[in-house]
Amino acid sequence: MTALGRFGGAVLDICRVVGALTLFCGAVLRALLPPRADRVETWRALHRVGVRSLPIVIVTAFFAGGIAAIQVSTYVTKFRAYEAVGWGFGFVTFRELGPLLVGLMFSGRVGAHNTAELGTMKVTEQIDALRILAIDPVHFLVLPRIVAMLVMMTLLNVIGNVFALGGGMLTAYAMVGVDPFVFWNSFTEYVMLADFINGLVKAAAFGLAIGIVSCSFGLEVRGGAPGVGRAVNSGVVVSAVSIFVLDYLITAILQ
Amino acid sequence: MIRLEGVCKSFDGVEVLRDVSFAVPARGTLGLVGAGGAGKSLILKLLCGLVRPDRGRVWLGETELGPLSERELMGVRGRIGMIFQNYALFDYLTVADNIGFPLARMQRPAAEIAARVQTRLDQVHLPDIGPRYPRELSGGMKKRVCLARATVHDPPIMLCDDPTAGLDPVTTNRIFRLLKDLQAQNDATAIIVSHETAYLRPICDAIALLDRGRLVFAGPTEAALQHPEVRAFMEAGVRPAQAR
Ligand SMILES: Nc1ncnc2c1ncn2[C@@H]1O[C@H](COP(=O)(O)OP(=O)(O)O)[C@@H](O)[C@H]1O
Ligand SMILES: [Mg+2]
Repeated sequence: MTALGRFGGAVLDICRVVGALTLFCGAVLRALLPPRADRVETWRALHRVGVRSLPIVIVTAFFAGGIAAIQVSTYVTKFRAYEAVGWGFGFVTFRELGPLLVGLMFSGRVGAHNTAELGTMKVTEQIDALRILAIDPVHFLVLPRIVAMLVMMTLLNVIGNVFALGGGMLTAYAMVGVDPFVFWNSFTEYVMLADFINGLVKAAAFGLAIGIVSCSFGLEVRGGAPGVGRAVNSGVVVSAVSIFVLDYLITAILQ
Repeated sequence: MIRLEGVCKSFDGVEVLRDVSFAVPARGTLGLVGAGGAGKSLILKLLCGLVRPDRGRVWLGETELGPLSERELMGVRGRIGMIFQNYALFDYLTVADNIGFPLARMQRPAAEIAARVQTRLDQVHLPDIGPRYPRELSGGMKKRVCLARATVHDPPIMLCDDPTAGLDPVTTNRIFRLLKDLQAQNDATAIIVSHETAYLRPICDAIALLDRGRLVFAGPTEAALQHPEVRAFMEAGVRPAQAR
């Protein structure tokens, strides 16, 4: 009975989160007609999101590329198919590993920070202060941040691809002895624009999801500073789940 | 004019305001007093539409807030200056940018904003703190910055939630005088929530006493001071039996 009760509770929790997110998306969509994101705030958000996440994305991408190269190389070298390393690497990294890992890191860094920031503004009545000054928090705070995360996540994915490629080539050479020239040729030969675009679509979708989830959890905070901590935690979890769900859907659709 | 009629509000099944009605005439000043948790701050939030009542009606000037959408409320709120109990300063902006924020939103020229911000800073006796951030200030200083921000655009409605919390008697006196001056200068209608009953009495035309969500009395200051409960509160501050 308690197990059943707990299961029921979990289902209700999920429904509550999905419901709240749906309502929040509704509010965001309404604010898009006509689009009125605050220009100054959008630039500020773009700058801060970019600065905050660039180092961590570079590190993540470099190692993700390295890992992919090792996995692919050990398999491929068994068959002495050196010219397939670049292809296997690019396929895995650009389509899947890059956007996924960068998305998760981005969520932990930028998303969590965003939830904490908006949550603090909520519990210290700064959001109320904005509303009294006749400023709609969705126009002023939410849209700029969602735009910034969408744009930056897409851009960072491109930058991440470059560093992942570097990490992959370096690792394949150092660990498995694949000539970088062979690697590069195989990469440029077989990795298609479609693979690149597939990753880009994912990155954009993840950025959008992280923006919506982190803003929504921030503005829903109740119960002072402890409430902010709880919201950050749930926000990161829900972001991660949405990333996996979106990844699944996009992979299935863009087959 | 500010008017509440039969306002009720509950949170999670707990009734925090019960059938509250009072009015403040245009250019009037109401002192709103009561023990902590009585619902004073909540009344101010109802008046600017940040919280909607469960029952009852709220008027601000000629406008009834109840039927307004959030977007329509925005237009009404431009006329309100609110001093928040907990300052609510934007912590990513300097003090000067905080105070100038309402003017910047109205796209006033930078020189005018700077001049008016400095005037307010001088008036609250903090002339040099413009470049500092709210986190570097004491509670009393934040309160005064909040006052400066709330009044920089000369609003015709002033809602002041404990404007002198954390201040020494000399500064308290100055702040009350400043509020009174600003109100006269802007022909504003004001509600002042405060526990400083001795300072409150001479500057208010009317007093309202709130006790655990229920309005005990609301009326002209002289009449209020005849009312035994109001008198006891005004003279003794929080009655020990109600202190929480
Ligand atoms: N947003 C809210 N959610 C839940 N309870 C609230 C909320 N706002 C106010 N209350 C409750 O209403 C009561 C009155 O609060 P308040 O207006 O802040 O009192 P005060 O007279 O001290 O300003 C308190 O018991 C408080 O817990
Ligand atoms: Mg209060």
